[in-house]
Amino acid sequence: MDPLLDVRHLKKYFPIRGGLWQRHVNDVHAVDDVDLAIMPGESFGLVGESGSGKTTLGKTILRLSEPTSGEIFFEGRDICKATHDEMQGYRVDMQMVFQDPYSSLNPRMKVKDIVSESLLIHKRTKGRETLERVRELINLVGLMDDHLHRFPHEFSGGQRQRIGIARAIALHPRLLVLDEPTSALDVSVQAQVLNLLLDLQKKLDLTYLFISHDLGVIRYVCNRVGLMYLGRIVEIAPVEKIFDEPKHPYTLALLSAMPEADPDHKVQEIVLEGEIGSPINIPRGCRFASRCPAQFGRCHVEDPPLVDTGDKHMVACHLHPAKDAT
Amino acid sequence: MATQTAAVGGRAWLGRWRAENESELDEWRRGVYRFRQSTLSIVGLAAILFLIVVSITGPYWVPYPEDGTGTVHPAERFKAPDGGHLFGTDEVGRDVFTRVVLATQTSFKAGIIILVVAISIGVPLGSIAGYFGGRVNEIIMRATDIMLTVPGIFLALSITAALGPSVLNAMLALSITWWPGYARLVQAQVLSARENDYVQAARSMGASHRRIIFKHILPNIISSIIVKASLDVGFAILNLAALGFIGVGAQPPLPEWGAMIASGRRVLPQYWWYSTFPGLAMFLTVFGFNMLGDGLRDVFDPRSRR
Repeated sequence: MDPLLDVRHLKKYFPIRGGLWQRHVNDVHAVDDVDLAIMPGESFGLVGESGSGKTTLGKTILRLSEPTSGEIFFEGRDICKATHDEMQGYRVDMQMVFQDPYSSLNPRMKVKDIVSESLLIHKRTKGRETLERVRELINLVGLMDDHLHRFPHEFSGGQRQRIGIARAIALHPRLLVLDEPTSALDVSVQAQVLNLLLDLQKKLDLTYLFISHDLGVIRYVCNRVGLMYLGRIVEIAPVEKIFDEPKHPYTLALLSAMPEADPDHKVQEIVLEGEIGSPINIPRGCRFASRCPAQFGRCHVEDPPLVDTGDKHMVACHLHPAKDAT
Repeated sequence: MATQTAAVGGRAWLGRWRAENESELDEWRRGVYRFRQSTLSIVGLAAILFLIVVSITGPYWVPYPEDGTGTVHPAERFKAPDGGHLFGTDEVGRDVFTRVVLATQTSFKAGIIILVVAISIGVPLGSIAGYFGGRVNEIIMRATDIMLTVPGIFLALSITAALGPSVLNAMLALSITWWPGYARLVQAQVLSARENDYVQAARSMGASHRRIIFKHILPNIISSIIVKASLDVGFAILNLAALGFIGVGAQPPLPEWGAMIASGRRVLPQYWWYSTFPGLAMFLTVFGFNMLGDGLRDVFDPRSRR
């Protein structure tokens, strides 16, 4: 099966300008050479700490920020080269749900106008039909008809996120980029929203790129997981592989920091030294080497590529060499 | 029978309208409540409403309508206020009350036109600069800065010197000096408003720049424009009067507060009424707009209240 979304060597650098003439002095390497393929119907989880570039990756895939270089294939066609008009066609197929349900809804628009906006832009429905469709969508996400005529500030965080989801699915997109859709919500509300997302995925045949820093959430929702560190993906594997046999030292450290519900289950927590490195001056060699408990000489010299270590388990670490095809 | 059905239909329609607009009605109620919290705002609003009514209806009920033109009554010169001339008379015997009332219209018209022109130049420029950023922003904002460095009165003097003194030219001059304030305000507000996720969301669904500016950005910053405008009308009127005072604004015999104060100044303090009443009218206007602006600020941004 062909991937729905295939990202190759994607880079997004933000230029830093300085001095009197605003010269280009350096770059923030927010996304630095990412390869990623998402299959139709899949939920792909993207995990990483703050500043690892996961949100930028999500926004670049939707061309909300223009990629510096690389290719993004959506159903086999490169959308980086699409003109403005061609891009309008792809926008119908990919939508985004934002992290902050307070800043993601226009406070001056009523729910019906928020949800119907994309229908109007792409002239999918008109008149009475639009209101019908909006009603249908709002019921689908678990809100009621009389909510249509209210403003966003009259809703709770969870309800607002439902409105954001209704807006995102209005055009029947194929791909939904979910940027930490539950991290701003209470735990109990998180579970409701996650269940709604799982439910919608089944009903509407959606593919998710689920960005989160919460491994528990990822485990609940996703089939496959990619771990990001300083703008690069360091490990990709099916979700059970990541939790049962993680390979990259960074993954091991992240998993050991995950809270356990069982108090008798003791894990030796791996405490990482220092902070996530600076995305401005990326050191030579492996980006994780300075904090890695298992680093050795080669790590500081050579940047490990992301290679297949067998069973669809990709790792970028010198400790885990590629499995030969033989 | 037919009327009855119509009435029932009307009531049903009204009920539906109320249900659908309940949220707006609530906003309005809250706004009115916040405005009423401050007595001074009510006083300001009352003053402005009163002056607007006076400016519109004035020409129809002033006691000596012909005194607004160049008529002279030498026998009536410098009469002190009494029953016949509420505010006294001026150096050619015209009724000061009549002229103060008629000048209201000149001032209000001018103040509003100056603001309309300033807003229709400043807001589009500021929106474009803030929204598109980069080079466009640099060019527009540097031009705005240059405009701001020229003192308003000086520019107004040069314009009226070039085009000849008149109310129209004074208004033109003030409009030109007034728009940079709006360009700056709007640019700063747009700059912060466009960072909201809902703008990103609109872009991700393929909304045009025009749609984003008009539906997502401007409605969220319109309140600060309204507040600034309501404060500025008063100051625009004050500036126009200043130009009238130094003689480059309204020309005689057109009644105008600034020009009246200037002529009355020469005969102070003996004929005190000549300058005092136009001064009081101006005071009431500026005070009214200031208080109204403060009240509106409370309505739109309750957090900024002192």
